[in-house]
Amino acid sequence: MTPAHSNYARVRPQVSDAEATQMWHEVDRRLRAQPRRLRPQVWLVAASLLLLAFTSLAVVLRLRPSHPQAVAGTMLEAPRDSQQTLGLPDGSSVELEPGAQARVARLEGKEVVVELIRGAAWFDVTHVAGRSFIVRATDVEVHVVGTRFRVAYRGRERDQEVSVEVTRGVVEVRRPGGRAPLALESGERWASGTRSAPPSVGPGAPAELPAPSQNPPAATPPSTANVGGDPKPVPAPLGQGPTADASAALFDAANHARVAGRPQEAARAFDKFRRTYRSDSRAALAAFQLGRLRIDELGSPAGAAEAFGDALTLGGNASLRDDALARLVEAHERAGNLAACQKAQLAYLARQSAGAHRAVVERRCGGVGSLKP
Amino acid sequence: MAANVFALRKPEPPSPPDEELVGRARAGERAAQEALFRRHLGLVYSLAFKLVGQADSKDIAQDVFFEAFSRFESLREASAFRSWICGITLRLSHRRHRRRRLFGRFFEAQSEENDVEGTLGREVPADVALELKQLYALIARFPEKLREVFILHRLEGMTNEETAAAMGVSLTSVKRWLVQADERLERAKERGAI
Repeated sequence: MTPAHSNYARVRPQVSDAEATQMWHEVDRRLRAQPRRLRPQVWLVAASLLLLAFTSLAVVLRLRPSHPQAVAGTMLEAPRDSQQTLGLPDGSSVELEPGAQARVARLEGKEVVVELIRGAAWFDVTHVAGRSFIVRATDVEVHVVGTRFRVAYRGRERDQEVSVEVTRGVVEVRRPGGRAPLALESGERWASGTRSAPPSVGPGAPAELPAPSQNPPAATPPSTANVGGDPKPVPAPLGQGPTADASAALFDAANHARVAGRPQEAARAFDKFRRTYRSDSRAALAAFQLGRLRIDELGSPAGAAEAFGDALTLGGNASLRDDALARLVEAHERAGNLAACQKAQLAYLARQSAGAHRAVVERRCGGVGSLKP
Repeated sequence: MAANVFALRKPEPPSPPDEELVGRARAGERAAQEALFRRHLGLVYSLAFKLVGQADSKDIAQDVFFEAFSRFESLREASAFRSWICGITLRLSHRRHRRRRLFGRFFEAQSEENDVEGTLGREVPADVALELKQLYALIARFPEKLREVFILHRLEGMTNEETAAAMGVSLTSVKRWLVQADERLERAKERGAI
């Protein structure tokens, strides 16, 4: 039989007065022992201040000029009096100079294509493995690995020119008509030869790569003609044909191997070039490239120091000498040769007072303070 | 003379309502806190006793009031103090119950049987005492929500609204669980368990 509901109330556990008093003292003791809590009003004020701070931050972030994010088909045009920046999802950015116009033709995981329609733009490209980044200006394509460079397109009826200027990394310029691609490195500039405008050359001679299949290295035009968009190869100087062909082929092969990610093959070719063609204007560059490969790719800082030293002996332009001397300091440091490191450091600081690497060089070899002049 | 004695007795002041005591207790007045404690200790203790048994009921009652007086800001309406404190009791009892079950899996399981007979007066007939003991043993095996709703509503005499407020559920849920609890009791009766 289920107990009647009236019986439920009979179960009433009781607490005596003495027990209740004892329990209250215990509760009271615990309440007094706990740290004083902030009153609700204080919490309210604190919460309001926090909310205000977050709101302000949100407003500031919203008002802050941010780069628009691109999607395929995005057309961007910079006003005539200011530049415009376009951010890509991978962190790359396109900075249009005043009056320039560009279009994101393709934006996929394996390929990004930006068409420069008018004017000039800087591209700061984040390296993504397996992804190609291509900039098109008329029929010229610039293929990028991960770098910063500028492409300019000046298009008129009788005067068209595309120029590419690299400030970091390497790009490959591909021109129409099956001509060999050009590899442009940091500091180099290339401009298409046109009907009226002569080709312009940057500080370093950009290397022309052999065409992938149909143009073997030996058949590649000499690199003295490696600038400009002139479809006709510039003939080699009289009397130097075979030698010029061979040196160009060797230099091109070295560059091609380096860009293709075969550092040992590239190092062998550059080494051979600098030893065989020491009077060639590219010998210093070859030695410098050899040093870079040895220290960056092949784990041989001592060998790199020798190559950088040789590059300085061979000469080269001011920019190359600055780079070579700075990297010589680095190579000696990484090889553990402190005395040679400090000697090279002193030489850099004396010769390159306004050198681009001065700050970095000063910190090497234990810092400038440890130098003994 | 007796009439004179009654005439001289000082009339007892009316007990202040919960709302007033809560307001004063919130402001930190210890006397108001103690008054609330003494007023609701019986309910809280009884509820804890029925939920987790005698062994832990005093500890839980103390914890309930400590937490209540430490967290007055979570009480929205002063008049709902009774339901609110019952809700805290349910939560702390549930936590203790769960911990005890967990420990019971590793150590020797503690008896969860309530000493119902010890709470009954001498005037309660033996057969009623036995039935009440069987009832408590049965509801101890109810699912958690059914047990809580049955104890609050049927055993503590709270209204549907108070039960819903204490449990933090809807009135519909309270009614549904009450029906289910009654059905279980009915089936137990048919089996002769009660």
